[in-house]
Amino acid sequence: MTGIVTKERERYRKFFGERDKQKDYWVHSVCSLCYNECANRVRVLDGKPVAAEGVPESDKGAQGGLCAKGVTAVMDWHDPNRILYPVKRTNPKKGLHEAPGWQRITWEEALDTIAEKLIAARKKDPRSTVFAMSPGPTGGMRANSSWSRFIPAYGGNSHASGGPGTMCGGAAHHIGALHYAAWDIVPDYRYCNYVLRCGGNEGWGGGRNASASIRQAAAARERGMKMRVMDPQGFTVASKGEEWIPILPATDIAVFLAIANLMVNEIGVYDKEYIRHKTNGAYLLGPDRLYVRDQETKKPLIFDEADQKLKTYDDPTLKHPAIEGKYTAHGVQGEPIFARMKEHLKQYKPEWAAEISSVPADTIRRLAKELVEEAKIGSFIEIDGVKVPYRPACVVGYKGLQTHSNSHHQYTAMHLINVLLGNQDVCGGLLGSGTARSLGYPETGGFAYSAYRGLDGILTTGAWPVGIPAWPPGKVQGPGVCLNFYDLFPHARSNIYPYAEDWEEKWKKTGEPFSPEVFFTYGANVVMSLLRPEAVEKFLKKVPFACALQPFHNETTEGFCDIVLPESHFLETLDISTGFSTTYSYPVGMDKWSFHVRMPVTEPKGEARDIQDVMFDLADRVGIRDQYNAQINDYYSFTRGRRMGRDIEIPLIIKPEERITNMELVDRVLKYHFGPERGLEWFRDNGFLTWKKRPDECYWRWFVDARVPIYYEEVEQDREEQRKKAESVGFNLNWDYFTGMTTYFPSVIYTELPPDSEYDLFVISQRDPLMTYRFTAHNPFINAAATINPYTYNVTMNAQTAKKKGIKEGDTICLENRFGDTQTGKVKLSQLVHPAVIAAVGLGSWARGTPVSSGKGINPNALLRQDQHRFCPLSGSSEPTPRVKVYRKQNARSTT
Amino acid sequence: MIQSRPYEFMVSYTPQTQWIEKGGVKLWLAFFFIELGAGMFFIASLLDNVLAMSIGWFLCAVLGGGFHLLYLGKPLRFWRMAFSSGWKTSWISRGIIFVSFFLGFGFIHILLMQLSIRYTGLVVIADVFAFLTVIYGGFAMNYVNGIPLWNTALLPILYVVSGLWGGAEVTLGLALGSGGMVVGKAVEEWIRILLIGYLLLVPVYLMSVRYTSSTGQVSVRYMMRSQWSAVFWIGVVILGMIVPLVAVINSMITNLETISVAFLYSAILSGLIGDLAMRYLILKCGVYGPLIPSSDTA
Amino acid sequence: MRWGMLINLVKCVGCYSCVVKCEQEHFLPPSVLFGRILISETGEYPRALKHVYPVLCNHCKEAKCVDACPTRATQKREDGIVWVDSDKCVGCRYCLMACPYQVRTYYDEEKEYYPGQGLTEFEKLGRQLHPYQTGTVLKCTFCMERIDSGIKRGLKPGVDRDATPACVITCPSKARYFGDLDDPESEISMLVRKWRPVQLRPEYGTEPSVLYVIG
Repeated sequence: MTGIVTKERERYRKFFGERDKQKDYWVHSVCSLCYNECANRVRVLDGKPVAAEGVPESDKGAQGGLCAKGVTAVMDWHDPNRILYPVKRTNPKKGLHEAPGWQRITWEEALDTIAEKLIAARKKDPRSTVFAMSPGPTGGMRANSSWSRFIPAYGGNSHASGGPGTMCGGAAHHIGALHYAAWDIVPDYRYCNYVLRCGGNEGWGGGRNASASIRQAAAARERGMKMRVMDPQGFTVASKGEEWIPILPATDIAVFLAIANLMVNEIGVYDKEYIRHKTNGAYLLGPDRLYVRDQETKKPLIFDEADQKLKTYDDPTLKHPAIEGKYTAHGVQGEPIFARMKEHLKQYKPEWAAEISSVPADTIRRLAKELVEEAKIGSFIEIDGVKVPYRPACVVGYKGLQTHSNSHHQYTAMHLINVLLGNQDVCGGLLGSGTARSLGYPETGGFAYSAYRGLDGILTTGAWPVGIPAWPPGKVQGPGVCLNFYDLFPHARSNIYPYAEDWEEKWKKTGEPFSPEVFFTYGANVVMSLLRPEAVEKFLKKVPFACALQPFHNETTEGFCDIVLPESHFLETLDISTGFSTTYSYPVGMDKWSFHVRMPVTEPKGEARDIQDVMFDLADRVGIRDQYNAQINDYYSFTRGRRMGRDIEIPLIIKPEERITNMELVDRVLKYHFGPERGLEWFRDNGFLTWKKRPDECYWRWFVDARVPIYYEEVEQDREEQRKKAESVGFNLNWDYFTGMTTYFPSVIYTELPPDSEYDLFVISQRDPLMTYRFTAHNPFINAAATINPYTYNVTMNAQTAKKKGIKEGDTICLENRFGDTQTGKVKLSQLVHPAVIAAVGLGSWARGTPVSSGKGINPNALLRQDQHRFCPLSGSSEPTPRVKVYRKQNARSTT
Repeated sequence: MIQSRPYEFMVSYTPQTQWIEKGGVKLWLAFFFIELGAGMFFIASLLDNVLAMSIGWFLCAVLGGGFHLLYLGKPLRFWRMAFSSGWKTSWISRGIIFVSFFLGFGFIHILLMQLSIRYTGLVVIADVFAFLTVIYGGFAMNYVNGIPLWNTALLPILYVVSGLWGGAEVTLGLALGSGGMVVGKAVEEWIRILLIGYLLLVPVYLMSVRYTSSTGQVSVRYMMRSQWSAVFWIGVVILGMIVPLVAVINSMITNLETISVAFLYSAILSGLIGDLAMRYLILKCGVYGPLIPSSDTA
Repeated sequence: MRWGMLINLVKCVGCYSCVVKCEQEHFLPPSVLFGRILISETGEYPRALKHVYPVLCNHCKEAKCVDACPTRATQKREDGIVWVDSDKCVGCRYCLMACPYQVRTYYDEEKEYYPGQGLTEFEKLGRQLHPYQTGTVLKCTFCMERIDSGIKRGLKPGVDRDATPACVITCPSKARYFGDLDDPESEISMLVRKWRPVQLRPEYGTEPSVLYVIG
């Protein structure tokens, strides 16, 4: 065993040895089979993990229950296909189905080689190292902390994770930050009475907050909460609602705008006070579509109807901001954004929306009416002696809703309704996926942070677990600054480049200031997660050196990696980051604060190592340890120097020059927040910490003086510069799309082909309760369950549509796009799918390292050819819906 | 409609598999030989035909019992079926007791007959147990109320009739082979009666099952109209009913001595194949009703 | 005393936790499932419904399988649990046939969870703790070993997790309840009076002890 590993095992045994000597013991840890990180407890018998359950005393999860994925996690620990030693590729050929010919090497050789490549690449240009990550399989937050913090320390900016971001929450997380100071959204199930759910399966087994949401949603249903589900398929979460409203993919925007129009211009009931005080709807907008600003301070201006004066948003005398009328400021005539929006919405009629979406106009009217009635606008409720607004209705949506080429406008349209209802982060309404404001652990005041008012008075996140916060907005730069064109599209947090079909021709036009030299991935299966594998292959073949750190092989490592490092399984991992997902996936509403540490239940197998120690190691070798320490320190002290809106010195949990291990890091972070008695030892022996949440924490909205945007002025500001720079490298986009006002734009799937095209079906990929990406598919327990689930491995099609095409239940069918790309699978006929839609889970693996999952299901992404027209240039979301024709395949076997 | 994929289990009409698929095939043969053998013994004992009795005994004990034992997951534990209190409620337990007593008493009777000793009481006891042996399989299946195709009183009666009929046919075949015309003619009478019984029972059985429930209807349709329809129409109807009927009508017109032996043997074989086919389909198309509502089964 | 289970289908989402937790708890061999989820659709687009039913052995009061067993391997305890003494089972599968709910499995042959890659430590441990015999019939036992050991330690099945069936404690929806149907004060009995749950296919006359709240 390598020297480094021996030392680590000694450290482990010194700390956990006594515990591990027991024949039968339980450990409190945190699940990692999706990115939601529910609390778990794991039983170890004779040194082997054999069972996983939830934690009854914690609210981070199902209070004792645990979804199927979490339960089966122990089997992954036992999986004989785990990578246990560093390996290097002996087959020099790289390609989609190439056998790598792995040869075992030492950690020294592996890290020396990788460091050498990283140093050389950094010397040329730090951007020539391409970083790719996936939140899982060893921890959603690990990717965002230990891994992602390496990148700014390295000086790089070349993120190319494939699917993560662009194929899931492009708009969701950006708008989540702007509107909720959180990663995502969850209804306040404890008090909500009505949910209109669109394109997402949270609360059902897939999606945000996983087991916690399942528990909360189930209790809400028992209590009588109503749920309407608007979705192209009705066999997932819709089955738990009273009504399924079929809708064509990516057309929800029309319905949302129509509902907003009805609320504002017909029904006339909406939360005016919320708009006045909590949104930029009161900011004056000039004829140039930009804020009318104070000439001195440059702050956006508001007209105060109380004393008929123009004031900046932060004027302490501001009482009654106008949201209608026209006002002049230093010769510029402006009107409140909301007034302009009101007018703008008039064009969006229910009948128009019905034609686009296939949702009947009467239904749209009824939904608007129901939302308004159920929201009880203007009402209050007392929670634990604190009076808070009460708005028990909301519209919620996730990946299926906002991962489209019209993502930004589609998603902001949905949140416009929530703004009009005034339900954001108040009782019964729509909450950030965690809690955006913590007044601190009562005993120490640590672990405190808060959303606050930032630039232009806009809500800014206090604790942001992933990458760069949405606000203040990024600046347009380049071209040629970013390999993935982030420089040209700074409002997106990820996008389809550099894997998209048109990347090469555009990159050439930047003058190619650098070339990709190294591809370094943490669990990201880029070959499978974004678009057709051949396009990814084209890019990866250009990169001279590729390496990975993960616990299992996949199509990307086998096809393209030169070195793969064995990451410890999450059950072998000590990981503090899970406790810091407070705005990512923490129990919402008045559930307890529940702080957990992912504790190793056994020693790592083989020579597997914890990613934090590996990254410390690499940072040492590359010579960036100081910078990396600073990044890690910043992450775990929470607020990048701002706490509760006050500028303070950044506390040094770890000094730049210190060479500490992961174990020491965890101990220090815990003590820093929870006191000197509650370090690692305390958590090893006691498991976790809970404390009561306060209403002014969970329903913080009216306790923090900040506004959310209903108009995205930064988009208007940047448009011209963006257009010039993007066009110079060949982007020919619809620049009207770059508007701050939420506007109807159709997804490209309705414009790239004529309506009567033979490619008449839209492929959507639904979340399945058993599958997280592709990495639960290789678990045999999951496979056993998936085999008896009609939808997991099959391609689900509307029964009437199938009949018209002569397709019968169980037939092998071929899905073919207009380029001739195909996927073949077995069909399941359903009455719960829109006639124009085909649904399939993203599977179709072929990796030798995951034999259990090989050959099962199809890969819908293989039908995608993405280019500049197939992504949202504002949010970065990919358009994941291919248009296909479908036919029976005689004598065919299912493809992988 | 009929389950063919793992996720349709007990959601669509679900065929039983343990008593016909893979190793289950042995049980099909077991029941056939047990009932055929005991039926043959029964008929032969009424005619004091030792050869037929012996062969019947052999078919039942060796082939029937053998296939039954081979079918069991733990064959060496078979004795538990007789020596627990299972006989109070279990038809399989009762069955093994009936078979054991039949084989025991039957063996003694055959032995004594070899020595030209005949005890009427012994014959009666042996025949009672032979009859119970023929009928117990039908009751065992009848007990399964989850399968309407089996859960009818007509099934044990059908099996008794087919068991006795099959036994009579083989006895006739043996008689022809050994020149026993007297026995042959006596058996012919049995065959005529039993065949008519069989010809009536099959349609009545199938029709009545159709009317019990939707599951019953699906089972019968599965038997008569699906990929198994060839086995039904050719096996059960033509080979198992029409050909034997033709042979019987022919025998009523002509003399046993003058009938073509080849034709008669063919008819006997045809009848046995038909019986096997019917038993196969009853096992194959024995379908459980779905547990939950489904459009597939509406 | 009669142990029973109540499953609230309004709360259940069909996440399969009960199915796999049971497999894990009992170290079940591949292709043996004690619990399943049955999924179907009724109606026509767009007014169709999806039905999700977790099913397991009903531990029927009038169990057909108990009467069917020729060796008395299948037995009914005084507390209502129906279980199989594998040492007595001869593998005739009559019990399996007799069950109208088809909740039993015949354990045919030993298989590996990772075919061709040998047994994992989990499987090896499982074979020591639960030496299932091929050629016998296996089925759900309401986790009677948890119930029995729990009662010995003074715990209450249905209330205390360690004495309650694994499928009940793992459910993230809290859709499953367990307790004594003969005790009118038990939580399950009170819920039965409140929710009026139904049995699956009561016309079979077996008096299942597993009840469903449909809506």
